[in-house]
Amino acid sequence: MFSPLFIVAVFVSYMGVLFLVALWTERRAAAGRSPVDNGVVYALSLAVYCTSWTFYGSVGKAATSGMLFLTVYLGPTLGAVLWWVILRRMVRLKTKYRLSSIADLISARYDKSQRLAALATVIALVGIMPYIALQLKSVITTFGIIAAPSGTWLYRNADLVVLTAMVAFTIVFGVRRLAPAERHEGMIMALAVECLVKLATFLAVGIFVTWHMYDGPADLFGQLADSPYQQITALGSDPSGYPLWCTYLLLSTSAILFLPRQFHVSVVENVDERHIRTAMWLFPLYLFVINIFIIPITAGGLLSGMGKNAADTFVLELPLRHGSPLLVMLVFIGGVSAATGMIMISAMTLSTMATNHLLLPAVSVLPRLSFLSRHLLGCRWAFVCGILLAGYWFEQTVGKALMLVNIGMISFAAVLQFAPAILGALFWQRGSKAGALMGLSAGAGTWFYTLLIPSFYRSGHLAGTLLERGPFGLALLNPERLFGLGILDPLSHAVFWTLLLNTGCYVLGSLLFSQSDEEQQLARAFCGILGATGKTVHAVAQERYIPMAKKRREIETLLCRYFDSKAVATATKACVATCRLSGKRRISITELVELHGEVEKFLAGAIGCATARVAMKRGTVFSDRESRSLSSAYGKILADMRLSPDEVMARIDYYKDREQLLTRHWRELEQRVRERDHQIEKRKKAEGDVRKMNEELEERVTRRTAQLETANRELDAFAYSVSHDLRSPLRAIDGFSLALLEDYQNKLDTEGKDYLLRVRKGSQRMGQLIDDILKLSRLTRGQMHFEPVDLSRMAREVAGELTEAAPSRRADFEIAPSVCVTGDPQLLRVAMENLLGNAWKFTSRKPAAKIAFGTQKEGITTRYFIRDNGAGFDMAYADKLFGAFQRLHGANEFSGTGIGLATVQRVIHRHGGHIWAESAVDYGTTFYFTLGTSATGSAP
Amino acid sequence: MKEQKTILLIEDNPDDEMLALRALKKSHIGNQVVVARDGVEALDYLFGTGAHEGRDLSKMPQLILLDLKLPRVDGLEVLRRIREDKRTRLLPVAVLTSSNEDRDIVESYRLGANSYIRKPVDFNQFSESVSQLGLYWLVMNEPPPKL
Repeated sequence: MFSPLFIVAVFVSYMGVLFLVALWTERRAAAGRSPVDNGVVYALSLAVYCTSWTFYGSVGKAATSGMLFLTVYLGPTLGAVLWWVILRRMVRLKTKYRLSSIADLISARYDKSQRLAALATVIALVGIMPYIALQLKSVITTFGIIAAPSGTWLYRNADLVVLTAMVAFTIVFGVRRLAPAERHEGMIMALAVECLVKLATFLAVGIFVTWHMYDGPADLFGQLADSPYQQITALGSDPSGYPLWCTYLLLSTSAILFLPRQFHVSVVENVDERHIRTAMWLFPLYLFVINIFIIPITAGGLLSGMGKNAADTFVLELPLRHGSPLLVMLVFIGGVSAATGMIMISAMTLSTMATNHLLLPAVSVLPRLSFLSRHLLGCRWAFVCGILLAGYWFEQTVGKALMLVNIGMISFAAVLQFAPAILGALFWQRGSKAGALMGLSAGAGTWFYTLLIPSFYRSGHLAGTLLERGPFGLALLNPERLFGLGILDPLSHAVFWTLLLNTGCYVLGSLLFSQSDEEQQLARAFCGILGATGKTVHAVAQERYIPMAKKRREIETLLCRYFDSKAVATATKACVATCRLSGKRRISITELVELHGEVEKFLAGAIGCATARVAMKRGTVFSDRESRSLSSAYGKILADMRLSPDEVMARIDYYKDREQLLTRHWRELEQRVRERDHQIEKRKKAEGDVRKMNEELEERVTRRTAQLETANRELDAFAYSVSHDLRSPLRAIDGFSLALLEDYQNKLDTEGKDYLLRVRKGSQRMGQLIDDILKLSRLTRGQMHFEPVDLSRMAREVAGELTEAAPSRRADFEIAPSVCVTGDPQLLRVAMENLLGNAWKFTSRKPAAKIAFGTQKEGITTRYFIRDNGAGFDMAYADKLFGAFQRLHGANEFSGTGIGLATVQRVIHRHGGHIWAESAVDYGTTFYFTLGTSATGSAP
Repeated sequence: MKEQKTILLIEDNPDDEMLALRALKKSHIGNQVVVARDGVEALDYLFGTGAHEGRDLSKMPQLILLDLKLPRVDGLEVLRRIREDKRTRLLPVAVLTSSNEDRDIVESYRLGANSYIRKPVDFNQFSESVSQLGLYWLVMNEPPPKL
C-alpha cells in the first residue's frame, strides 16, 4: 500500500519530531523550567505500560478470550490505590540512594549485594526478552502489512531496518549520556507525546470502526448479538477462565510496579513524589480510555469476516480494508509509538543494569577487561544492540508461534519474581540477602522451567515429549503439571508455583539467615523511608587534620577508572562543592565521610550502588587515625540523634539507643578512669609513703620487740636468780643466827639474843618479800586460760578459808549468788583472795565486821565490788593504793607486804578490766572492778 | 659391820653445805655425807672418774641431795646423767634448791627426780625438811636391790 521507503521516511520524520521535542524539553529543563515537572507528563509517561501489546494485542485477546484482556488494565487500575504507599517509598529510596534500576533497588536493600543485583539483572534480561521480541514482532508485522510488496532491499530487509532504527532511537534518546540515574527529561517528554499519539490513533480507529463502518455502538453491538462472536463480551468460555482472570490481575498489578521500564519511568524519572497522586487517577483514566474501543474494534473485525487468528492485526487491517490510507499510516505510527516507547525504555534500563551489575563486577574479577570500565557508554550501546538482537532472536524462534498477549504474559510472570523481594525490602525488616537470593533464584528457576521452556516446545524449536510426559517420563515434574497440579492453565500454574516457591524461599531464607549489621541498618532505612526526615546536620566540632589535596587525588584516581579526565574534574568539583568544602585545605572526618558519600552517590548513579560501594571501598583508604575519629564521630552522631525529634527517635531501635548510651557512658567512664588514674597515682604515692613509714615502724617495732624480748629474758633470768641467789644469803643469815643462838647460848646476854632474833625476823621477812615479788612477776608472765568462773562460789570458798583460819573472829559475809564470768580461774582466785583477805584484815578491829561481794550494772558494763566496813583509808592516797610495796597502814596496825593490791590490779588488767576503790577512814572501803569484754560475765 | 649408808650432797654454796650438814646432824642422821661442790665432781664421784679414779663403785650413795644451781655442770644435767647410766639409774635423788620456779620443778620430775624440796629461809623449817627427808629416804624407804 505504501512504499517501504515512504514508510521509513514517515517513521524517521516522526522520530525526528520527537527528538526535537526532546531537545526542546532538555533545553527548557536546563533553563530551570522543565516541562516534564508536572503530574500529567508523569502519568502519560507511565502509559509506556501500554505497548503494541495493548495497541494490537488487546483486540487479539478479546477475539480469542473475550473480556479477559481487560484484566491486564484492571490490575494496574486497582493497584493504583497502593501507589501512594509503595511507589512513594521507592521514589524516596531512589532519591536517597540514587537508584538507577530495579536491580539496584533490590541490591541496595540487601546488603548492596552484587550477586543479588546480577541475579535480578539476569532475570530481567531473560524475562523481558520475550516482551521486546513482542514489540519487534508487532513493528515488523505491521510494516509488512502496510508496505506494498516490492523487491526492494528495504522491503526484504525490513527486520534489519526496524532493528537498527530501534537501536538508534534507544541510544539517541536514552543512552546519550552516562549517568542513568539522572533524569532524561527529553526522553520522558518524547515518551509522553508517544503515549498521546498512540491513544489518539487508537481512539481514531475506534471511532472509525464504530461510526464509519457501523452506525454507532448500538448498530455494532446489535450485529454482534446476532453473530456467533457474541462470546467476546463474555467473561470467557474456558473452564479455567476464573483462575486465569486472577492470574492476569495479579501479574498486571505487579508488572505496573516492577517491570524494569515501569520502574524507570515511575521511580527513576520521578521529579516530585506529588506527581504520583496525579498519576493515581490520570493513569487509570488513560487505561480506561484506551480500552473503550477494544470490543467495538474486535467486533468490527470479526463481523468483517476476519479470522480470530488474525485478530492481532485488526486495528491495522480494518482501516486498511475500508480504505483509509491516512488512518492506516496514523495507526502504524501509533503502533510504532507504542513499540518504540517500550523498546527505548526497556533497552536502556536493561543495558544500564547489564553494565552495572554484570559487566563491572566481571571487570573487577577479570583485570584484563578493565579497559572496558573506561568505555562505559560504549558498553551500554553494545548492550542495547545485544538486547534487541536477543529479542529479535526470540521473536524469530518462538514469537511466531504465540500470540502477542501470551508472549507478554511470560514477561509479566518473570517480573512477578521481583515482587516478594521488593515488597519485603519495603515492608519487612527481617527480609535478608540470603532470603532474597533464595527466593529470586527459586522463582526465576521455576519460571524458566514452567513457562519459558514450554514456550520453546510449543513453538516447535525443542522437540520431545516433555510437555506430555514430563522429563525422563517423570510425570510429577511435568513443567505444566508440576507435582500433578493439572487443574490450572499453564500460566496460572506457573504463577502459582513461582510465587509459592519464591515467597516461601524468601521468607524461609530470611528467617534462617540473619542479617549483617550493615544489612540491618539498610533494612531499617528502607522500611522507615517514609518516616525519614531530611538530612540531619551533625554539628560536630572536629579537628580538621585530613589533607584535602590527598583525598581529592584519591577520589579523582577512583573516578578516572570510569570517566574521562574532564568529567572526573567536573564531578569531583561538584561533589566538593556540594559538601561545601571548596577551598578548604584540611577537612574533618565527618566532612570526609560526607564527601565520600557524595562521590559514592555520584558513582552509584553511573554504575549502580552495589558496584559503587565496592569501588569506594577499594578506592579509598582510611588511616588509623581517621578510622578512630570516624568511630568517635559516629558515636557523637548517635548521641546527637538521641536528642533530636520523635521521628528520629522512632528510627533508633533499642540496640542503637543502647549503643549510643554505651558510647557516652564509655566516654564518661574514660574520663572517670583518667581521674581515677590520677587519684590512684596520688594514692600510690601516699601509699608508698605510708608503706615506707610502716616499714620503718615495723622495723622499730621489731627492734623494740627484740629489745623487749631481751629485757623479758633478762627479767626472767633476774627473777630466777633472785629466787635462787637472794634467798641463799638470807638462809645463811637466818641459819647461822639460829646456830649462834643455839650453840652460844651461854655466851650471849639477853640483849644479844634479842638482836639475833631481830636479824632472823628481818631475814625471814625478806624471804617473804622475795616470794611475793616472784609471785607478782609470775602473774604477769604466765599464759592465761579462759573458762567460765563462778565468782560467787569462789568468794564463798575464800570466806570459808578465812573464817576457818581465825575461828575466833566474827564477820558477816554477804555474797551475791551466781555471779559468773569468763576468766583465768587461778588468777581470779588470787585476786579474790587478796581482796577478800584485805577486807577481812581491815575489819579485824570492827566488832560487827561486814564484808559484801556483789555486782552493779552501769550501762552495758557490769562492775563487781567487794565492800567492807573496816578501817578505810584517806582517799588522798588512792593513787598509791595499787603500787607495789605501798602500804597505807603501819606494819604494827595491819600486817602485809604491800604486794597484794598490786597483784590484784595486775590480774584485773590482764583480764582487760579496771579496778578502783572508794573509801572513807573508819567507814570502810569498796573495791570496784570490771572485766574486759572477753571476760564479761552474765548473771543467769 | 653394817654397811654404811652414804648421802651424796651436791652443793656449791659452803654456807648451805654447812647448814645442811648442821640440819642433818640436828636430826641425828649419822650417815656419812659425801659432799660434791659442783656437777663435775659429783659425776666423777658417782662414775669413779677424775679425782675419784679407782673408787669402789659398788658403794653407791643411799640418797643424793642435789642443788640445781651448780658451777660447770648444773644440777639438771647431773640428774640427766644419773638417770642415763644404768649404774646410777635407780638411786633416789632429792632436789634441794632455793628455786620454786615451775619450770625447775617440772623439769626435775621429768628427768626422774624422786623428790623436790625448796630450801626455806627459816632455818627451823629447813632443818625440819632435811630431818624428814633423811628419815624418809634413809629409814622408811626401801632402797632398790643392788645390781
